[in-house]
Amino acid sequence: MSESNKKISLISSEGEAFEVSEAVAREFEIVAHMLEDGCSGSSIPITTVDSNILGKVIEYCTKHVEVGNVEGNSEKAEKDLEEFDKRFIAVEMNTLFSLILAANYLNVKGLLNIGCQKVADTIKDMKPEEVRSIFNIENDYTPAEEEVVRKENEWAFQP
Amino acid sequence: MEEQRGHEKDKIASSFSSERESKRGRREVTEIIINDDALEEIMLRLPVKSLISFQAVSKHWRRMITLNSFRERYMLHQKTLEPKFLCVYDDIDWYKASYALKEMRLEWSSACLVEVEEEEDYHISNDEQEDVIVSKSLDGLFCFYGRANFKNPIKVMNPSTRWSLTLPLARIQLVHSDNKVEFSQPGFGRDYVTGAYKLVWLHNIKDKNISSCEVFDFGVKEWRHVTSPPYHRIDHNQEATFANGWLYWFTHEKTKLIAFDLHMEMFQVVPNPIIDASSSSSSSSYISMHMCSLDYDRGLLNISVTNGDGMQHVWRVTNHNTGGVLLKTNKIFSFDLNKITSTWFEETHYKSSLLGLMVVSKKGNKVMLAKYGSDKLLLYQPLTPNSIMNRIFSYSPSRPSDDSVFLHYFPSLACPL
Repeated sequence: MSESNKKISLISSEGEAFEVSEAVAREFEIVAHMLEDGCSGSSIPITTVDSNILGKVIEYCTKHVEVGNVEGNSEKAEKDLEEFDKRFIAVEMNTLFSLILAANYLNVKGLLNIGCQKVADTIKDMKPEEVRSIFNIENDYTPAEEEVVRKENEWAFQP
Repeated sequence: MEEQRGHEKDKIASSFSSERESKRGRREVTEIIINDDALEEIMLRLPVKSLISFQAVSKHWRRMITLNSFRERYMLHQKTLEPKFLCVYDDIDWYKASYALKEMRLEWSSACLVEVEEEEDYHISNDEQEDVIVSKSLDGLFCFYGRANFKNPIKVMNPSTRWSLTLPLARIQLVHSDNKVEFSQPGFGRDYVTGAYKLVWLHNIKDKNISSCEVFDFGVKEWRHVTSPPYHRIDHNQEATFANGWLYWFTHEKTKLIAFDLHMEMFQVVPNPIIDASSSSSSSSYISMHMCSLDYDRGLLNISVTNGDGMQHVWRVTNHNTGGVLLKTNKIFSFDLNKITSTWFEETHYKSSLLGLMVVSKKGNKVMLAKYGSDKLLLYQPLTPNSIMNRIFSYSPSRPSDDSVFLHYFPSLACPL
């Protein structure tokens, strides 16, 4: 099909253009919707995502489109993709957060899922104070209030 | 190992803050703050226990975790995953009489139920040393009933949050003796209009040939009578089945089911979509049926039927927008009970060997079946029907005791109050 050869430019927050095939761009649900709504322009600004992260998201989508196109999707291809996903999210927490925010904004479901699952797996056994430092959250409980919350479900605070 | 993990956490935290500082120097706006949308996506993927302790992170986190809308989303997300299993057993080594709950996960590839991590089992004291029956799960909630004495109070529990409520006695428990009433355990369902959970105890009063029904209202924590359906003897060997805001009971007349609308609180008698009323009269005594709905798809029911030839047919039935009527949609699969009864079921009567559908894998290619009253769980692969039931699920570690039971569920934050 000729349509699949069509190129689309995605413009990062710094104004850098990333040329991708339409199939890859459609992995961004937000872009897919724009295209369906008749937005015919060949360049689409992604103002909230910087070049570094946009490049990574495109890398993720490109890989997934490639594998999806292989005829008779074998178990091996599925395994490879799993491996790719695993390596893809083995990044620092701040990069991971940026990827999640971008995936959430662009509506790339697969990436959002693996990114959030990775964060969840990392923090699930942490103490509340460790979670605060990861997410840079200020504790707005008074000591007495926090004690009440902890007492409600004491068992959940034991390792 | 512990030390290494601690180190890794430090690294994450410090790399995050140093990045922040350097960015702040250049451009304030690029500071990474996870918004609530993304935070909720992360929370959906946390175990219940973590969510409960993370309520202590901040007031904002507590609000997000305890919101009803988040509870519902959490449940929907869980239902996209393979179900967990709850193992209920009598822990004779515990310092006092109790039963214990253990979370297990299902490994389809090795046909095994595996204990979830090193979590200590949850013990519930059982001073009366009562034998309990546990209901099927609805949204991660279970009901516990006394086996020997139906007058023991019913307990409703969420094993994931450890929330529980001991119900006051229903009128049937207060005024009737065992030989006067006939019933199955109360049906547990949910009003899909208001979201309210309800326990519906339909029973037959034997000497008067009437039906009577009480509903437990979690809002006011009381049982109340509802207008009962016309008299039909209910099949008290089977739990009522919940689907789409309705509860269904089999009756002794196999061509009819009793249906209860959990919102309107009204009964209806509906035809059994599987058995044709006109043709069944001659052979109905051989027909044996089993009904279930799987917790991740409460919009559908499955009715299994065997008519004495040893073939069990599993039908998918829907009540979507039908006003309670059940419609047959398709036959999911059929298998030959003759091929298994001889190998590891002692009984040779096919009609009592009907297998219950426990869980279907997300890909639909593997099915767990159970025999009523047996502890064995079988793996069936519909795509290769000849491999029928050559595997029995194993347990890792092994079953804590012979009378332990395994029930599938989805860990949830649900609370019926």
